[in-house]
Amino acid sequence: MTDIVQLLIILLLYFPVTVLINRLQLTLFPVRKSLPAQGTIARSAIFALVLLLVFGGLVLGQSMAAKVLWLFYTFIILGCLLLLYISVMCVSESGRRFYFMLLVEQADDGITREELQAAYGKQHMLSVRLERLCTWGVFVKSGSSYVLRRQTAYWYSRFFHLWGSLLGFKWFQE
Amino acid sequence: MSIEIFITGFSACLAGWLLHFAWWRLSRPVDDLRALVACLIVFPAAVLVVLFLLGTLTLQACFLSLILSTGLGSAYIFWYPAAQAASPTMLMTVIVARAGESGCSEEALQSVLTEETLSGNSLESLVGERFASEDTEGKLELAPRGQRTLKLIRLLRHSAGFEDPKG
Repeated sequence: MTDIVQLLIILLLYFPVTVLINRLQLTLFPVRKSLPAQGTIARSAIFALVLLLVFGGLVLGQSMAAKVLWLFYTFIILGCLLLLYISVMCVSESGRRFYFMLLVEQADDGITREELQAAYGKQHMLSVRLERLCTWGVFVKSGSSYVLRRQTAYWYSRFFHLWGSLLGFKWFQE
Repeated sequence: MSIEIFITGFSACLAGWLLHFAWWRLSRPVDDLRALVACLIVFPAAVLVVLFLLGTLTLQACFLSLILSTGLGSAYIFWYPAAQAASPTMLMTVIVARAGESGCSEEALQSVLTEETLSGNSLESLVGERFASEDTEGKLELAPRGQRTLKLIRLLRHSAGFEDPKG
């Protein structure tokens, strides 16, 4: 039972520790706070995972075999929390639904779908994302064209495309 | 801690995922979020509780398997929107990658990506998943789920040192 209590404490500590490390990073190595780099979020999440895993290694399990199993288990759950943290931070940065919600909140007398699309339309979406992708080094500008520099971003996109196709979603009108 | 916990936790989550896959292929639900929670959190939890009540699992094994399957299910649910709504960033990456070394101009991206492709689905799901409600005049207002979500994410972003997003 002690192990379970210690495990729960470790899991509960994950988000506060990650947020704290994130804040510390932004304070010590300031980047443009309105345009967070992927790295800042991922580094904080990974660092917190390693930190808590080391802590888990010290307190969980009695024998070596039990320690290995507990650590593996803790690693999986902390990995899930890491994915949650990265997902929430990324969605809150560039998620369309989240941004639409912000716009709906700002409109005191309500807002129609057409007004929402006018406020957050194609032009805005593309220019903000192009700037972000260039800042991250995913695209490089060559003349008036954008060229993909990081292939990992492409494979990452293909993975989600495949996942969507498997569930019956159509990304493109093909 | 035993291997049994990993097997039951992963199996319960896999059973939930198969249910979700079958459901989506047969007829996609209107409220994706609620259906995902039912498939990937509630269903696996129910299976594990039944196994405990039947005496197949001990209380500790049931609890730890439950945490495992809930963790896996939650991670899946939080990444699901990226597959569901074709994020503009990913669409742009795929289009620019397909253009190869010659690249793709902003104008070309604008001609390929329509307004509907970029935001249609997100607007639909905003109402469908009850983040916003629409009155008879077609005006959208934040629903309680939307208000809670905004409050929570804003708290997290500000605590982590980030400002409000640019979209």
